[in-house]
Amino acid sequence: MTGGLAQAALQELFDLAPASLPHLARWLDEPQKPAAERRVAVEALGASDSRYAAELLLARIEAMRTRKNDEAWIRAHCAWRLGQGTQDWIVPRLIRHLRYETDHETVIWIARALARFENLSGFDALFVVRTSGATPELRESANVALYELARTRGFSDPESLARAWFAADPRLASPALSPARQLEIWRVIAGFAEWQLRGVDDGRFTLARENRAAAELLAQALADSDRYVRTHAAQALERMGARGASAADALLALLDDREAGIFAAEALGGIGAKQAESALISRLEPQHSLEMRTAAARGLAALSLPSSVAALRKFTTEDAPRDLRFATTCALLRCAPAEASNAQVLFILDDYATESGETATSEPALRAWLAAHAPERIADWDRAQSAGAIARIALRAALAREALASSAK
Amino acid sequence: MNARALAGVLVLTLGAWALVAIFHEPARPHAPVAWESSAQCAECHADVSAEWQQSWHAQAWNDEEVRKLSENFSNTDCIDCHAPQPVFETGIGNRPLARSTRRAEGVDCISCHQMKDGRMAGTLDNESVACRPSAQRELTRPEACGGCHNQHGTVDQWKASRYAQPGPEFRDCIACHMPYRDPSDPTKGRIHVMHGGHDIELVRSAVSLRAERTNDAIVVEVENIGAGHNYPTDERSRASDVFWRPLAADGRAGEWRKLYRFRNPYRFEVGEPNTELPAGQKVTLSIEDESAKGSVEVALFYKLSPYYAVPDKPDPEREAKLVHSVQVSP
Ligand code: HEC
Ligand code: HEC
Ligand code: HEC
Ligand code: HEC
Ligand code: HEC
Repeated sequence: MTGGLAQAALQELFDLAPASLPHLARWLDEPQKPAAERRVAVEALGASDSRYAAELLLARIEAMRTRKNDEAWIRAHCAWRLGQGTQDWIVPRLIRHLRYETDHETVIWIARALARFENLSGFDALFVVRTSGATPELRESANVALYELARTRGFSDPESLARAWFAADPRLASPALSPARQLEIWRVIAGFAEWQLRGVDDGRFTLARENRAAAELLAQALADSDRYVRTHAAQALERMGARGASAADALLALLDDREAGIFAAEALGGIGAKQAESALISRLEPQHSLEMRTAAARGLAALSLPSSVAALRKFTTEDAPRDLRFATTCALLRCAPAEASNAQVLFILDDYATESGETATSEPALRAWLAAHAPERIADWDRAQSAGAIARIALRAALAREALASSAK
Repeated sequence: MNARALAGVLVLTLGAWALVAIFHEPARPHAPVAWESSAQCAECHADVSAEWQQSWHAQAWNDEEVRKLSENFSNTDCIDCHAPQPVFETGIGNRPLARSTRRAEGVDCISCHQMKDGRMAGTLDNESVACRPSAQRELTRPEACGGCHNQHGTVDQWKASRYAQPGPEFRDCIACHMPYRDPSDPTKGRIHVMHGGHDIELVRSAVSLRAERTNDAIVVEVENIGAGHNYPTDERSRASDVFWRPLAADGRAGEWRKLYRFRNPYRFEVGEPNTELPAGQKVTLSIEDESAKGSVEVALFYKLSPYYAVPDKPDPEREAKLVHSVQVSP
């Protein structure tokens, strides 16, 4: 049977015998059955395009996590078929699975299925398969997928599409979330209250990669009565970056929360909420806790606005508490790299070069300074990334010291 | 002692107390201090501080293994327990959350001791000293360790063991990991070094290894005799392997062959079973191999990080630490 007829036959099956679905799903778990029949089962479930059928396909993919050497091709097939349907609620579940998936073909199909719902978070996985896929064919098919996704969205190359995704470029479609997808997201948010971190880590990972519209649900979660829900929702927003921008007001309202305020301060920086600048500046003042003042400085560093400089300077002096002084100086390097004194750079560099450095705070600051003072060294700086977490520190510290030595200031 | 004598003693103490109260002004409460660093505690608690410096808690932020795996804590998920807010802030037994200052101090004095009201949890009440200690039994409970350590199941494992049962065998976390400085005088406090897998002597005390030749095989037994939880208790990082090798008549040793691994795999190692050895339990293994007919050495090794450089050709002597070894004659 072909085309329309096959479709009609399948439709008849679902309309007349919905109970056949779980039966078909069992075939997916029977390796002794001929592959052709099992493919038909996937096809049939996919064609049904119902919530229940999609759940069965998704569950088959997720089953990988409880089995050793699970058959990969059947997962790839399920992922491919899910990408043909209209069930957008599979997005958060597929994102979470992508964190664990090891089969490169399945990775490609999951990334494509996500993109089908305008979620481009599978892009980095495609980049990985393109450069280090298991076979030349897989590397090529990742490349094809990347270009296809870029071109169909009016971008000349995948890199610029990826940048647009992270920048929440308005040219990219951001479809509304179906109620089923919202429910799925609320389930993830509810999981933030769990004690076990596995689910929490997966949840932050998942929501940080969700579409723009998910930020509205996370914004509501910032008012939850559970401190862990508020905290982790703020962290998920921070990691969403520009896609989380719509949560700015809710994050501002969380700033004075004794428990989750410091996470809100950093998240405001992460989402790039320029309107939060004055609120963050006021949190640098001594009537706030040192934890809050430091977090506010980190938020301002992420915003990197030249207008913050005067306020930051007040706390870059030696009488400021060390943690605060460190964070404000890092922020200064990012907000106005040309204005930083050598002594200030040295202060950051000395911390960076120790085994206990606040590396994640100082590294972007030193890079910003280097880009302003010795742009010719930036390529070397970026290359050092591949040396790994420990070895790159010595390489980068040396670059910065050389630049410092040749700087007249 | 009869009731009257007892009454007399009590009357006397009360009387003496009354005199003390008359002649000594009651100590004035110390003003709250806004602690900025655990280095401040060292000024008055130098001994505790020196012990803590040797602990891995003090290394939680510097630890190179952690830095590698967390990309220098760019993965901020890892800060929660490696540079936590005080555990009393989030609540004993709850999961700790990340702090944004003094991270280099790792799991420090303030992390474990500072209460929500700024006082320091301890064994006594005294509002007149700078740290204003407050007697808190909660500090001593396994749950106080569990906010961080039960993510790897250590407290649950302990609860399932005989050490958690009330009675003569009861031993909690601090009984084993924070022994008294002077066993005859508990008021001298507890040692804060809190060693674990990095201390091979402690690891040796956790397990026994026996091997014996039967008719056609060598039977090997490994028993958890000293850990109050699984051996090794950790997810992801630790592993302990049983190897054996034939010994030639001239004493030369053959290559090490792998027999068994004790380990709780990390979340990304799909489908691998958890083979840790629960407290008090033993596993029995068997070597049935032509080359095991002569003299054989059986050895248990411990690894701080689980992987061998070349998985098919592990070199336990170089890449792991020897826990126990036994020889079996032909
Ligand atoms: C819930 C608290 C918690 C979180 C969150 C946490 N750790 Fe740990 N970590 C511990 C505890 C407790 C130990 C020590 C005990 C053990 O090994 O079980 C430890 C030990 C380690 C060790 C072994 C250290 C050594 O010296 O051998 C490494 C490596 C490590 N963690 C890495 C990480 C990384 C990477 C992350 C983030 C992905 C992380 N940890 C997040 C609690 C945590
Ligand atoms: C200025 C000196 C001083 C400083 C600084 C100080 N303490 Fe104390 N602390 C004391 C004294 C004295 C006692 C004993 C009080 C007593 O015996 O009644 C004490 C008692 C304690 C106790 C209770 C001891 C017990 O046996 O139960 C704890 C816990 C404690 N301190 C923790 C800390 C911590 C943590 C810090 C740092 C944040 C700190 N202290 C800083 C002087 C100090
Ligand atoms: C991992 C948690 C932890 C850390 C870190 C820690 N302590 Fe303790 N501390 C305890 C526990 C548990 C006790 C035992 C309480 C008891 O015996 O009732 C204790 C007891 C004490 C006591 C009572 C007397 C004694 O010596 O046992 C003092 C004082 C003290 N700690 C000070 C400090 C200081 C100062 C630091 C930092 C240098 C520190 N602690 C770090 C958990 C910790
Ligand atoms: C706030 C979190 C936290 C609390 C509370 C905590 N620990 Fe830890 N502990 C850690 C971390 C993190 C490490 C790993 C440090 C590293 O090596 O990076 C660790 C390591 C250890 C180790 C292993 C040392 C080694 O050799 O690798 C032991 C033993 C230990 N802790 C015992 C305890 C005990 C007992 C308690 C309760 C009194 C306790 N801890 C409370 C976080 C905590
Ligand atoms: C009966 C004594 C005993 C008791 C009780 C005990 N431990 Fe241990 N612990 C040991 C021994 C022995 C080791 C070394 C072997 C091992 O790693 O399992 C150890 C190791 C550890 C380690 C090091 C793991 C690593 O990866 O380096 C941690 C963490 C730890 N224990 C925490 C705890 C906590 C938390 C409790 C309370 C719930 C506890 N222990 C109760 C004896 C004990």
